[in-house]
Amino acid sequence: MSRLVVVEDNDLDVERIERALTTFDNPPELIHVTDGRAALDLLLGPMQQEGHTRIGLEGPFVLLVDLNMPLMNGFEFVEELRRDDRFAATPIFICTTSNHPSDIERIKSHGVQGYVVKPISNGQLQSIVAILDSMTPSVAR
Amino acid sequence: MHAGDRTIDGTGMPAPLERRRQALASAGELHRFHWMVVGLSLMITLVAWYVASGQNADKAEQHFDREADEALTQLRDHIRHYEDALWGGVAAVEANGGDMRRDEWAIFASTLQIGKKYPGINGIGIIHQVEPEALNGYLADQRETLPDYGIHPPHDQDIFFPISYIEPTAPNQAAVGLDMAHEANRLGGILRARDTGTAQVTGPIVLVQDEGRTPGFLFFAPWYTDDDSDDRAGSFVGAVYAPFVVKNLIDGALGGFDRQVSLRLTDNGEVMYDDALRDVVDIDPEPLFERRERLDLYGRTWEFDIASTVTFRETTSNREPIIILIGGIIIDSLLLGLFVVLTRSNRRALAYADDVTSELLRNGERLEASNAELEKFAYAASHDLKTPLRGIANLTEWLREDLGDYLGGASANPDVARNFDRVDNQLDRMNELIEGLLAYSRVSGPAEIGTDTIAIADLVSDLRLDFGLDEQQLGFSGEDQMDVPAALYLKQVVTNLVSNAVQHHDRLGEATITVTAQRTEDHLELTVSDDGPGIDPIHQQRIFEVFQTLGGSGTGIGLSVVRKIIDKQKGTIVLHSEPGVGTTFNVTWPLFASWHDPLRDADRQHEVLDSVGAS
Repeated sequence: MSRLVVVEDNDLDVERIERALTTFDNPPELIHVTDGRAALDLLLGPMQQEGHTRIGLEGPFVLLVDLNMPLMNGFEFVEELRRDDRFAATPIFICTTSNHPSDIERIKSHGVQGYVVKPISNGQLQSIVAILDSMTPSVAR
Repeated sequence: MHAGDRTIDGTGMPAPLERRRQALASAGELHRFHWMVVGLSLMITLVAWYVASGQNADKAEQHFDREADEALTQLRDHIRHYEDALWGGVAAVEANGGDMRRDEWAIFASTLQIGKKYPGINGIGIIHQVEPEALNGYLADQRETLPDYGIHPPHDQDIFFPISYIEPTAPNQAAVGLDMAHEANRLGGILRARDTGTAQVTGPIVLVQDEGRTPGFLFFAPWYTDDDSDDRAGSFVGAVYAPFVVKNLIDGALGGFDRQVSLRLTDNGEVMYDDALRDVVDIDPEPLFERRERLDLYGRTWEFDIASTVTFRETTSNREPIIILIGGIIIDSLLLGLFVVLTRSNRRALAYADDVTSELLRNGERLEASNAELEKFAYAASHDLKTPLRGIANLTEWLREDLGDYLGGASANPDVARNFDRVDNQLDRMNELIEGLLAYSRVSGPAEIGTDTIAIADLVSDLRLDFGLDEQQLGFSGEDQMDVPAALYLKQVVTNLVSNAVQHHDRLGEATITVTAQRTEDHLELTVSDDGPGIDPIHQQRIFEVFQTLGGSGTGIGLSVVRKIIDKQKGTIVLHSEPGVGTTFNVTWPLFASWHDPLRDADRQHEVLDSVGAS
């Protein structure tokens, strides 16, 4: 099963993604955490005690990361995650509210696969899921 | 790094100002140059003093020499004058047939007016040479006219040179009958006169008629029966003679003028005269000048010691050199004082300028800080507004989706769908305003002045795509690729100006909008021109102000952002517009940062950028 990990503290933005996914034919599993710290725990440490399923390293997944979050913001999270070789190539997309060139430059400098300017559209989400699909072994999902 | 850390050490100052400040600081100190001027002036003073002193000493010495020469000349002349008197006596005797009687001599002497014409002379008389065998005859002759005449004092010589007569007689009474042969100096003198046929003086003696018992001498002029005879002793008859008291002679010779030299006269070591023993001149115990002069006079050598007197010292002492010295030193001190005062006032001016500068800097920093604070606030506020706005947009969209069945139904109230559209419109408008505010408030100073390459042709072609125009509608000419500072901002300027032209064009389909770029030595010159409706002159002032629109679409922020960016980059923008013809914006964009704005500090810049990156 492929997974879409959304690191986002705004419930409405998460709900928008959830609603969009319901319209897809074969939607990936959506895993939601509210900040970078929780996302690191999810990927690198045990989170069962908090009711989360540890994602582990099995199966393909894509990260959709908001920038402005409590505890640990998006940039900090990306920097921290990329330090672990196992996640060096994990696809990461940044959600941003700003389309200002200097902000875009800054996002690109963090070695991510792409960025999405909010509000995320169905088409954009479709593209991301398509990337996820391409990572999945051809047969079953 | 914050405002308080900044000091006025010049690091925050533009180079030309800093150079001027350095010059002022330099003028606030005494330099080698100042010391050189003072030193040179002091040297000139000393040289002037030295030269003046030397000249003064030379002049004084010349003066002394003149005085000494004058005294000696006077003395010599007087003695010659007396000699003339003696030879006058000889001449009178010769004219009288080779001898003269007492009464005849009295007439001669009174005619001579000794007291008046020969001051210093004691008298004038006749001395005869008398052989021992002729002594009685001689005495008998004399006693005819002077019954109690006698020769004195007795001696053991075998020749006699008695004074026969002397005029005036009264003061010289003791000399009448005095025999020269009784004493060595007198005898030596008359023998020299007899044997040389010339006038001679004796060595120092004390005149018998001088009650003061002071040194004196006798002066002889001989006469003979036969002047041409080789046997002078044999043909010698006698001598006309004059006794002198030396001090009278000196007074007679030198009394006529104010001497500034003192004299001391010795003959063969014996003191004949000394001013120090008298009260005639003011002796200087440490005379400025002294001189010793030897005069060979009538068979004797007189040695004169001549010294300058106190009067001489007073009249020759010249204050000129010392006045030059003191005056020069005063001028030098004033010069130094002037330099000190000048440098001090320069230091004061500098301190004042520094105070004013730091006050200005503080004010500028406060202003800048509050500006930055405002911008940050505007940015954060508008940024934070976006999230709930997006939320409302989401919820509206979902409502529309969820009400899809109702809205599509026949019983639907058409106002509901229309109001959804109006909500969307308002949301779009709100979003544009917030984006505009964000764009405006994120324009910061030239701290991001990194130089980048801008490809204006590509930018224009992107804009063409964005606005759905063809090359006729939006064209570009000029230089394409170039390195400019703050390229991102320049892109925004071009974008906003083109966007402005597109938005306000009344016949977009047949519009001609042109972007040109031309590089000069230190500027990029950029124009964006359109053939739109133009801007009425009364509105041209307002279009750069924030939130000012002239109706139609647009938020009224685009041009104010352009203005703000260009101001921050120290460029210029000029608007040329004619209603009905079109509008042209001329922009100049400096290619080199003129100077780093000291009030803008890098840390604060980063804070703004950090918050820009937030969602």
